[in-house]
Amino acid sequence: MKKGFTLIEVLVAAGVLLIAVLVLVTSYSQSLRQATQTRERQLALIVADNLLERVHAHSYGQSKPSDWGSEKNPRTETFFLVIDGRKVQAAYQTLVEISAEGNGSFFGRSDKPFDKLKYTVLWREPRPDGSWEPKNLTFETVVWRQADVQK
Amino acid sequence: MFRSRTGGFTLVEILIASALALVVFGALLSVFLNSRKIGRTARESFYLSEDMSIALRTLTTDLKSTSLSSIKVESDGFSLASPHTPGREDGFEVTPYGGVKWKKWVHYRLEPGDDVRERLVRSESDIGEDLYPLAPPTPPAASGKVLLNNILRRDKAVEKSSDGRYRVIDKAGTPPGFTLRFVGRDGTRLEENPAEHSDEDRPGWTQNTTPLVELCLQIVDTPSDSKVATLQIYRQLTPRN
Repeated sequence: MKKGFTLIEVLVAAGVLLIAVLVLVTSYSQSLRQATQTRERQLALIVADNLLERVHAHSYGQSKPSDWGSEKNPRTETFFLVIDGRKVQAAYQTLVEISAEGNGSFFGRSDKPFDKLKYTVLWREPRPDGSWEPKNLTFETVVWRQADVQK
Repeated sequence: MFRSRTGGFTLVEILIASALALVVFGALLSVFLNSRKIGRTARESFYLSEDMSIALRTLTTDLKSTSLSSIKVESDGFSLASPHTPGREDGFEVTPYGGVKWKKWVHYRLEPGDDVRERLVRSESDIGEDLYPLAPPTPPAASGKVLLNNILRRDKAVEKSSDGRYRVIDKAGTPPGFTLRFVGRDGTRLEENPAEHSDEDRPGWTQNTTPLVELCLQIVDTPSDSKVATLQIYRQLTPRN
């Protein structure tokens, strides 16, 4: 027997190489998914910041603006996003509501001097299998009637 | 002097080996091509949102700490009064009359870039001792800091072309990728600052105004004509003073 590889050895070596390549492929697609995720979350934060600013601009005790979104009828904010010549979905649903611990005075439903608001941002992120995973960002803030006097 | 079996390959072995090599190199090639595409896509996503968020941070600070009435919108940007010491982002100072002491003007202006993009430049200038900042001076020429260099130029738009890909096209009348509007109570966007008018010259004017302003930013990246990347966002802000 001269030096050299047997067929079995070559097969094994090729198999090992293939596995390595497959691992690379999956790590690439994973990193792409994570980049997408980061971008979508950054945009979701902008959407959430917009909600806070809208609340800041609202006069305490005035009725709720119709375009603020509710449980039944959320407001949709869409950003125009094109990557690599193709349009990419970037839509966020938002709602601002009186929190369960609130009293509705912020929208004029009571005379209390403070209220608690609940903000929700909803969007979808792609899963590895191509389906969509619903994501949400929810937070609450307390608002005071006094803060409005300065305006 | 030829010897028949000295450790060469048989035909079958060569066939199997080359088939294997084909599979392996084919896989490697597709990984390579894919990684280039994925890398570009990921990089674009990152740059788009990262560029944007860095510029937004400065814009947000300025717009939040100004007063609505000091904002002056021009065709190529806007100016606003700032209570921060020039070159810094420090705390506020209050005048003996209880108002905010204004310390500088901040100017945001678009400057020509290439045939698709414009540069967003932020500069500062003196404000004097006025209690109420009225007319901003002309922004100092050729000074200031470039915040973004990939703002979509005016009269350009990113639209779908016949082959299904999005491209930068000429579209007269399109505003630049950097505009500031005022939000009305009914959700409309106003071009004019609510503080510039009152119920006296515009009956019902204050009924439909809010302190909210809306910044619209569109940045664009064109590695090649058919692989354009763009992101347009809306940022709403309430001047606090």
